[in-house]
Amino acid sequence: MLLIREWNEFWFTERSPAPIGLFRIGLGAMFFFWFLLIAPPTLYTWYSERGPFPLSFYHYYKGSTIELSLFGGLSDPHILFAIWALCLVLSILFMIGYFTKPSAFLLFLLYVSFNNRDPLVLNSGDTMLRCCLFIMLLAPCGASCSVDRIIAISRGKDRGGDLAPREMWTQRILQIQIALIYAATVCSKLNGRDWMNGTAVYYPLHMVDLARYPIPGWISNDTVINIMTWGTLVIEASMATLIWNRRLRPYALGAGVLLHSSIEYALNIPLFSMIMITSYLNFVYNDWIALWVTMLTRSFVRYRIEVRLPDGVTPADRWWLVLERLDFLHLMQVNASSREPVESLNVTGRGWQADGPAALQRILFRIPTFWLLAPVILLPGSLKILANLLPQPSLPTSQNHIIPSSS
Amino acid sequence: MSEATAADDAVDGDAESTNGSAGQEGADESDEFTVDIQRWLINAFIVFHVCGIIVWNLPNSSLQEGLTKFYSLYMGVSSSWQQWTMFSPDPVIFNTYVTATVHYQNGSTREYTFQRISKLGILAKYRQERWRKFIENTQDNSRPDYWPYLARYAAVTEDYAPITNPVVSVDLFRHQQSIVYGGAAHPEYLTMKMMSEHVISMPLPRPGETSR
Repeated sequence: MLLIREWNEFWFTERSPAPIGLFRIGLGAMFFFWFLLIAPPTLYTWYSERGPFPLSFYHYYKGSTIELSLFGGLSDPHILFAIWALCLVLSILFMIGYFTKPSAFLLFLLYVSFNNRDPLVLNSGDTMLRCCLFIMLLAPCGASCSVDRIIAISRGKDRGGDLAPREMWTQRILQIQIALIYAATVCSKLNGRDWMNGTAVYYPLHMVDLARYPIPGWISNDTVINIMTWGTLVIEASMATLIWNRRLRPYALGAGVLLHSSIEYALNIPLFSMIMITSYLNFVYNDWIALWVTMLTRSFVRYRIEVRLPDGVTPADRWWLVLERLDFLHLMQVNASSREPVESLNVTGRGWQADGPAALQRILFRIPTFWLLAPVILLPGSLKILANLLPQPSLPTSQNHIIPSSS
Repeated sequence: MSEATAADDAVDGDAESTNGSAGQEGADESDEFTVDIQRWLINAFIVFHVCGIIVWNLPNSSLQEGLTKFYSLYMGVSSSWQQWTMFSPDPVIFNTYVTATVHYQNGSTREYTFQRISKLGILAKYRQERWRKFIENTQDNSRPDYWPYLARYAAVTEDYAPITNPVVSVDLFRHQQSIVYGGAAHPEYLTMKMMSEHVISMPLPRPGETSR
């Protein structure tokens, strides 16, 4: 019974879906860059008849292996281009969490098809993306940090606030997958003479086709090479073992980040290190996220503003719930105690005050989600657009949204 | 597993609390049945999948070979096949590149060098890295059956007069330099002829065309 209890605790303890939401964002960004890197003409080199891996080679290589591939007979470069462009869009949708499940499923089908169409060019980063995306199909990856959730809040299907914890067994599978990668690579390296005698790292660092940025000469010193070789084994072993201990996990993750940052600098294996570091988000505890947010909030506290909602609009209105949900730096505070009604949205900062569209502009600047849109928000004429997005006082029979003005 | 019991992120996570109270009756009982079935299915999937990825990563042995056959369909369809033997058991100790000499009907020749990453700038290195992997996977002596495809590509690419002066044959050369441990100057590249392929018998689609 103890074993069953331990099993259930390990797999089915309810926890926040926020880490897997963050991982989805990182993974989506990696997919976007992956497809960007194979933008034409590279696309045609590796996946069309123009390249060194034509369909005849593909069928010869594949033999009778059963695999998921939609490109088994695709030779039209125009269709290939359309699929590639679709994949870029799907990566973005998956990253922002819009139609998360359908976009994840389609992305999986197409990405796997790309992988299987030309397996001779795959590196470990590609494999990692594929394995993670399969598990993400089963995970509640759109439940947190997603446009889907914002839409649910705006439609009243979600009340906002912190998400209820869930059984995150999919996150556990991802954790085991990551630990297994390190366990497998360490076991394989322990059979290598160069790894055991402490010289292995020297060779990749001196492969001219693998070099990215120049490395200083002292790196080739015997002692340094020994330390790096055995240090790699120690870090990889700790990523397979110490990572499961709560107290030691931050140190193991830190060492892993150091290892992969070094690889990213010295060796030209596109995206591999960034994918591995991104995958560490699966080991992040929710209270770590809370701590990071608190630290960020503290450093931004001087930008905090007091918001007064227009007469007739309450903090329970959905448009406000959406903004409040996006304000994870907690830079906005509604002044509910004020007895003076205001006609338009009003915000007060340190020594300044703004009304109407200018107030909405200040609010949007405080929400990280809109930072990418900052140049647009600053454009001349943007205030007029924002004026159309301002909340309207609620009518007795209608529900509140961000109501576009008909005028 | 100790972290699963951490107080600050763990709500009571045992089966009973997540499945609901066992004492409920009627409709709740049937619901509990559904939840139990779901839980069993999830448990079965967890065991099957985790065992699959472990089997796939086991060191080579007859046991591993047998289990791999058992899992091959699932791993193929779920695309969970994987290999994590980066730079192991020992890293490659050679710098390698491949060139081709393309022979034309009129007796002229053309030299073609498969993409060398070391000759590219930083951004191009990012985009062209797959060439390194492709050459690494195809030039090896254990896969001579791949070489005609390399020869075919060398014949087709950068070929500006395919009709008036067709390609007759292609020679492939491997250039290899040992990486000598200790910072000493590396030796010169050694050139080895991999094959001489009469590509005239192979279908040679022009760039932009399809072979079908």
